[in-house]
Amino acid sequence: MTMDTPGVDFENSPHITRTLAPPITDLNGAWGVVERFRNRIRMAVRGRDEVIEIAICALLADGHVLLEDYPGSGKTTLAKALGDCLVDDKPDDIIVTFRRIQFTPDLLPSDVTGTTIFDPNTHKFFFRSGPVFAHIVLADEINRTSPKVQSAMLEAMAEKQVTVDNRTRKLDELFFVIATQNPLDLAGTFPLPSAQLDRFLFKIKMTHVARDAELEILASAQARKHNAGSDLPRVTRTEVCDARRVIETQVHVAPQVRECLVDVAQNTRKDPRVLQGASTRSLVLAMPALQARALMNKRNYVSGEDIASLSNLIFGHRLEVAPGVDSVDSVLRDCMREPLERLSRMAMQR
Amino acid sequence: MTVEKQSRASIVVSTIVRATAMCLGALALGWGVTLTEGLGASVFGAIAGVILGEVAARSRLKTGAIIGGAVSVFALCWLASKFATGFELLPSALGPSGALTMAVLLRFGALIFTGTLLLRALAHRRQNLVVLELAALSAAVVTVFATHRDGVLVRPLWLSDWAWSVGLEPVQVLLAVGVGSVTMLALLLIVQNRGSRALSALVALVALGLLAIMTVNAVGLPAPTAENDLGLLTPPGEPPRQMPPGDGESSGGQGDDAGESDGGQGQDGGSDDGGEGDGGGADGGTDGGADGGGAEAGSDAGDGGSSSGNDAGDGGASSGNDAGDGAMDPSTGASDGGEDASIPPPSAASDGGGEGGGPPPPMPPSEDLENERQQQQQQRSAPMAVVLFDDDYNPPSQAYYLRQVAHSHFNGTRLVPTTRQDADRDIPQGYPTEPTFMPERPPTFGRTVVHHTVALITEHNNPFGIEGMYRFEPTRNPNPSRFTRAYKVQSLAQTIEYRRLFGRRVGHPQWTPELRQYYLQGPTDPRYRQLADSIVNRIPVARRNDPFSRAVAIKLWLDDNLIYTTRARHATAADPTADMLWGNKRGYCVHFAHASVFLWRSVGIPSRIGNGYHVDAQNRGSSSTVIVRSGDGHAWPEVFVEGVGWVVLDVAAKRNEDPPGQPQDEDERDRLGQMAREQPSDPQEPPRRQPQAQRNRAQEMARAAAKAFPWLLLLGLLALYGVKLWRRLVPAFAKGPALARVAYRAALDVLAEAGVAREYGETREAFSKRVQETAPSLALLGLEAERVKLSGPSPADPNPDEIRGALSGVRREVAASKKRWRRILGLLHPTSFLDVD
Repeated sequence: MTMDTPGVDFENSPHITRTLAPPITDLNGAWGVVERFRNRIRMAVRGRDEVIEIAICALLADGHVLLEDYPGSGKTTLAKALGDCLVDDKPDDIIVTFRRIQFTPDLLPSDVTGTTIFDPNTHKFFFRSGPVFAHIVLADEINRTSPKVQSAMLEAMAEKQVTVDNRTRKLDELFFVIATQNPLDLAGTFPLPSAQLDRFLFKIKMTHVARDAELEILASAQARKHNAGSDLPRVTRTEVCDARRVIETQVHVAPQVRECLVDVAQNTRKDPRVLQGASTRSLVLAMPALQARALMNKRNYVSGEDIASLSNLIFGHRLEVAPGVDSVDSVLRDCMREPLERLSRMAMQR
Repeated sequence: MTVEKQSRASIVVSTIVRATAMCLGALALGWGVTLTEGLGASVFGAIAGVILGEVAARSRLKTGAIIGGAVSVFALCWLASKFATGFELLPSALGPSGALTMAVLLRFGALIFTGTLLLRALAHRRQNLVVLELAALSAAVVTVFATHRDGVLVRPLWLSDWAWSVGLEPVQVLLAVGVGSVTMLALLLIVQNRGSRALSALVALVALGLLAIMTVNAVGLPAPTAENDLGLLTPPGEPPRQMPPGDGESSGGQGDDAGESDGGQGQDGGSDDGGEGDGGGADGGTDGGADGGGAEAGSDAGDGGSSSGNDAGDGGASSGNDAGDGAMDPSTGASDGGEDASIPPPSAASDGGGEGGGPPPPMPPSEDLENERQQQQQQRSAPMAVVLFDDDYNPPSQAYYLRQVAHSHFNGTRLVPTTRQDADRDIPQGYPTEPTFMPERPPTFGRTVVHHTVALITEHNNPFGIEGMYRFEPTRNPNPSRFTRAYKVQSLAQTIEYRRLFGRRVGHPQWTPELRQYYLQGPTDPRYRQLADSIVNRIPVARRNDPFSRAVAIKLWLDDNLIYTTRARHATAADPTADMLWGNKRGYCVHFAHASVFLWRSVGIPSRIGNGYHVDAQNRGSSSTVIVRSGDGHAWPEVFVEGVGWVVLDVAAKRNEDPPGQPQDEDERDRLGQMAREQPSDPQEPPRRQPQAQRNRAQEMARAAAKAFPWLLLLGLLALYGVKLWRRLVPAFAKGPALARVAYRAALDVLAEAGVAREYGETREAFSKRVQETAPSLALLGLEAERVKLSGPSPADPNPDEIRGALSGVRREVAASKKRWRRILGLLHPTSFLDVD
């Protein structure tokens, strides 16, 4: 028996979906993920397209991001928008979509990781998870907290696991940290040691928003307050993980590109102005980032341009330059020039 | 900057190399203009400039500050040098020479220091300016050749002497030094920039350098210029020259054909051609040919020409004086007392009134200030030929008269070469290819056989040799790069002393009366006869009927009454000889010869004018070589003495208004002599490293290479354009993955022609983005080219239509955005594709 309500076509309602969204199995799908992220975040964060690109790239490359910027420049908005894009399609576990930790000097590791609590009813200890149990964690002002807390956070970042009371708990596969630190106001901070900086895939130095973009931010502030692109499609956790796999397997890295990357690292180690060159780990981490960037530029192969544009982000915070050298960027540019030239010329060879 | 990436060691090495190159450049510049102190200061300045320039460029100083600092340092030093010599303080403290040295040190040190510092600093800051540095060095090297042009070797003597001693051409040694230093810097440039742009700049630079060097006639002796009216250099086959005895500056005849090199005052060749329209033109032609190597040095040649003209007369004058004196001594005695016995032996040296007569003064001091003058002299005394004596021969006149032609035919105004078959049969005609005897052989009485070899440096129309030439034989050219030809001559040269000629009859007994009359023909002007008679009437009666005594008397009268000067002009007169004799009495060899012959002929003495070269016997010195220089051209009167033949009886005016002539360069004489003789420079020394034949072959090859060079250049140019064309056309028919590459390359070529090229280390995408404005379609081509290479083992083929569309898009876009002249320039640029990589 059918219920016929005049004027309403229940059979052909657009709200009835007969198929699941297709799983992400190829670069097309991965591109779709990228586009959805882009569109949503761009609605929420204006005038920061470059940083958005880098953030998405890091997310897809399974790396973490350290943002260095002045207060009020949109770091938190960016992180929240990123978290807002995600749909947790495994609601059963303890892991939530987005958490924010404000690091202060008096924070304790358990405030980050969670702690075991005695339940007087059951006479048992149970684990109360900390904010680190989330897909996307915003670690605000990470250099303000003590090294103890930093190291707890960094274990989570490196191993995707948390050890509380000598019991190790797994974090989710999609664990993405956006840490921020303030380049000014360094009094009473605990600068991150280079070993810990190495955990971050990118360190992004944000710059002030351009005038036009700033005007646009003011103009659209009202609209964004209520629904910042909330009608745009989101991305599920599984889709992100699938996209990562697709990118890693299907974006081609030519041997010459690998050579170029290694040569850049070698050059940084040889350069007299650099005390400590790029680590091998950074190269390993860089590969998926390069692939992700290639995809985001609609390429199925990594090119020299990827290396050129990501090198500063990847190696910038990893190099320790000799005293008196003012700019790491110029050192890196010198180190890249020759390998990149070789890679560029390769395209002209038979 | 790649420079910053260099290791410390490579910086040090490159600085050393650069400093060395700059030192060589500074030396090259300094050799010509300064003394040892200045050279030392230049060297230190160059080294300090390179080092400090490098340091300054690496520092954070602004480029403007570096330039300003360097310039102010220079200004300070310059002022200080002015102060050193301009005020009394320093000279009184250090002494004048100390102050001068100080000034030189400051000046040259500061000049070179500032120059090198600026060049280095700028080159370091702006890579393209490296070319400036290189150009400065090349220019410095070229100046060496400019100072050594025409093979005039002045400085550095230690180098050229060494080169001569081992048998090398010094110019080639200098060239090697210059090329070495330039190459050094160029290599450094290439190594450091690795850029193809540097390479294409180098190509241009090499071309420029070659051009500059080609403007300088570096190898070989100075090209002699015709500087007398003797017609010695007229090419064979020319009609006899109609030459007025006056110099004839008649009208503006200096003529187009004569050209600049002929324009000198002392040159009469040009004026002749105004009168008769043949001889001078020929002269000019020869000149031009000889000068050909000099090419652009037109004005130079002109200078040389005019000055040499003066000098030529000079040489002739002084030596004429000499010779005449020497020759005439006996007759002086004769006319005085008529006693043969009292005649002193002729000796030019004893009373060589002429300035050239004394022993040659020492070589001028090798001061730098002398350079210019020396060079001029060198040109004036450009060698024309080398005479090698196989037999020892000392002429009684103390001068070698090398006769080439004789002028015996009186044409109404003056004497010209004969057209008769039976007259002047002792004069050679042209260059026979086999041993030839002259139709008429001088008598053997009072003469001795002299074997000698003449190697011509300049082509002459007739062979010449010591007067009395009777046999001619061509011989192998000992050194074709130096000599145009060589021949052996046998002459029956006069040995009989002049005093023993008295009492002899004149004229040949076998001459027909008509021929005798031919040798007596002169102007109809009765004054000649009157003058001659009045002179003859003064000699003792006993000798008055002796023709030779008469001749000598007339000659002595001319010696006393005429004044030698090359500035004399009589050509405008109807009878130039009369104009001189009864005018200002000033003239030179041609006038004198005519005057004597006309006077002699008027009193019945058969005579003619001999033309050729006159070389003072002293110039031979102890060697057996005589160098004939362009200044040695001469005309002299001759008398036919029965039984002895034609005897030179030269006029030597006692008064000379010309400046003294230049002494001979003994070194050069010996050198040329050795060359003509094909002998090592010193018997003690081991023979030269290369056998002569091999050297000749090498030189011939070098000459052939020089000839082929323009063609090779053209060929290379065509090849480059071919490459350009190929790269432009190949996208039309390329297929598969290669299409992406060749199309992208063609697009880059288009951009490179418009002056846009990828920078070193710039990625393809970044470049595409940079030229977005100019050529938006390039992005696709670049992406495709890179995709084919980087997207895995079997990339998908690019879409040909898309690719070709983008390529034509790039062409269209570049055409729209760049100016037409820029594109045409790019199209013509043969190596634009080298900027593409």
